Amino acid sequence: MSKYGIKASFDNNNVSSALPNNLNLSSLYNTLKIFDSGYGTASVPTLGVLGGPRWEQDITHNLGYKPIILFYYKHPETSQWHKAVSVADANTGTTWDLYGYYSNTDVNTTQLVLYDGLLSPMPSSPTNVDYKYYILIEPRQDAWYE
Amino acid sequence: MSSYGIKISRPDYSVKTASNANMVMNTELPTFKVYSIIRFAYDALRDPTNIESQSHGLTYAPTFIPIKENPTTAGQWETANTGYFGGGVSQVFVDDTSVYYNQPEECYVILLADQLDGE
Repeated sequence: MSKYGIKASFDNNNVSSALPNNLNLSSLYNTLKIFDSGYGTASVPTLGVLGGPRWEQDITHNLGYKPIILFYYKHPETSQWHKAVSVADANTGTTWDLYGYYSNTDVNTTQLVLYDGLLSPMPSSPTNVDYKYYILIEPRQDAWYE
Repeated sequence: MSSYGIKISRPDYSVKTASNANMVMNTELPTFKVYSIIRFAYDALRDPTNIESQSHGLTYAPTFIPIKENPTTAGQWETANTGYFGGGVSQVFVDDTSVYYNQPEECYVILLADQLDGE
């Protein structure tokens, strides 16, 4: 028995025969759906010593599973955006290091973290850092696919 | 008052009862919109002291997802910015005008129309 569904192809592509990469939409394939997103400015303190203070933000999503997370931060020295998990340091053209990472602390909570570099610290503390995050509906494991 | 919209469920799931995780699309939930995919070809001279940039054509910093070839295993692809296990250095970054890349391996950067600056 045939399955029912919806397809939409790009311009100049026959929807009946187009390959998946020439489809704008097909109900056979999942899409990445945004459950929650946020933008803000973090007040990041200087690290000082190993294990020193960090900026942390808990996001309670209550999905009951660990979702896919996208987290970005803007180094204020260059106004360039970086994707966590990473460090923006001299390799990216900055004079001080800024680290960004995230973790799913449990099935209902995600934590975003920004912190200063120990060896190349921020020139003044605290420093404001813009950030953006997306929490997707899709779980980080076993999302559905055809 | 009810709102109007569109839902499409995955195969074999009822659109009336499926959870959002089993939807192909639900107009109550935003989806990413692919603006373009920028390619950085392999360049042995490209490194943190010789960062390459390409204009993305937007007037704002777009959300991006970078994918690059594994530096030691040709044909094996991974997400750029491989976290602390990959040395931790940010390898692909963007601003209001350009995309930047500081590694020699071939890299594709998916640019989404969704902006990073702002809600």
